[in-house]
Amino acid sequence: MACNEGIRPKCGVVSPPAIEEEKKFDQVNAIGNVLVIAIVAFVIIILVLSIITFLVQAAITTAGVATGVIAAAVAAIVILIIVTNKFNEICGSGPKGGTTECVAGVVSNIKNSFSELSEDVFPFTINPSRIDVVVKSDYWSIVERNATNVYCTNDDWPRKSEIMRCYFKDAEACNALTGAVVGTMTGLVAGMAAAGVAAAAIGCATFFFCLIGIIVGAILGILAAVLGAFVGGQVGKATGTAEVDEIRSQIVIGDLITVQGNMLRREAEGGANVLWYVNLVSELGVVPASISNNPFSYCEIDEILSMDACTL
Amino acid sequence: MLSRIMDGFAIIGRFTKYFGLCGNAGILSGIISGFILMLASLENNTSISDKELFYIGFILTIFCYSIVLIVFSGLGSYTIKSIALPSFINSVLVVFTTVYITNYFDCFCYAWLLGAIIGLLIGLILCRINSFNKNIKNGL
Repeated sequence: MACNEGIRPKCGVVSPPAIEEEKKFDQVNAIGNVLVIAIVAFVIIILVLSIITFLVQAAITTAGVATGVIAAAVAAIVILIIVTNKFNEICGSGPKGGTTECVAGVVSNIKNSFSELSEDVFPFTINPSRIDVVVKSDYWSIVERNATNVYCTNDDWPRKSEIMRCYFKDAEACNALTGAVVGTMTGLVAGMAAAGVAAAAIGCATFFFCLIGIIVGAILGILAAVLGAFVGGQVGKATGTAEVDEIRSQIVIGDLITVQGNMLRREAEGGANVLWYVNLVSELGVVPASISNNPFSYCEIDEILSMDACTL
Repeated sequence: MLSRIMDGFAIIGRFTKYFGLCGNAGILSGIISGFILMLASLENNTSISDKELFYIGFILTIFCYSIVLIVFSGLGSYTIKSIALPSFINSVLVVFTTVYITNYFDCFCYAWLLGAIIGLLIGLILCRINSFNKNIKNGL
């Protein structure tokens, strides 16, 4: 099959494109955001000073308990923020913005959620199910648009091709994360209680013992929150009613498809364009057995998929 | 309002890109060690001996080093092997400097802020030394 030597995929991390209108918009947004940061910082400083004043008054009688509990609370709240952030990304409105786009190509990889042990143990590392599509060269401009990272196949030029990662809304991952948020909150309370008991047992006779009490409190806070997230995640996964996406479950590697969905630049993937989430899939057949899938290349796909559902 | 606040955090997140791995690891170690020093000083503000100061630095280094390893290998995309030595050197320098300077100036209430600044400076210096060494190796 003939490859087009006149085109080259822009693989890997590239410099962000300079778009004047977006820059101006960013500047206006940035001024507003700096003001918000200043207000939030002011409120936080007032809160911290209030807490300090309260603690100084309470320190005389609490013998290390208050600081141990605070250390545990801070550590557990950090875990809670991470879990909640992931929940918002996957189950909530997700990353903002995006445009509806359609690409066509061949499915080169399928990665379901919970395919790795770490996703079971730490629910805040879950990613929704996705398929990787080696796209026709006609759609490379979409994959590259404003992106600072472009995924490609491991082939050499001129067979190297661009890949679009397409994510599906994943009810199972969402159930697990809902459980994880509840579990982390429970862990936070349990961790604070355990830290208070531990700090009281260690005591605060010297500065060094106070410090040990605080570190033990922080460790208990982290452990309780992570344990809570794990248990909550497992319970959520087991008890939730997971709506299986029928279209996704039928897709296999080698399928020729068109996918349509909301395309956005995902910072967690180095600024690569991804479909988050896919809302329409059209199956157009399967690549002939004679074509190498190690890896697939636009050289063949361009010819096989001369017409696709995106152009209709 | 909430989305504005999240945008604000996103801008802070963008700034962290400029600090690199060493800068961010330094800030993390500095804030954690400073925050713990602040809390401990609220409960017990007796003077600290030099020997005790060393033990405090040692314990805090182990704790901060563990947190840095967990954060950058668990949540980031780094392998423990690739960051073990540089983040250890970073943690040792940041934590001991924070502990000694905080104690010298007796400014435990602002130790978290001091720790963040010290961590950023030491982190950036380490990054600069690292890139300088790489340039020498590359013959530049």
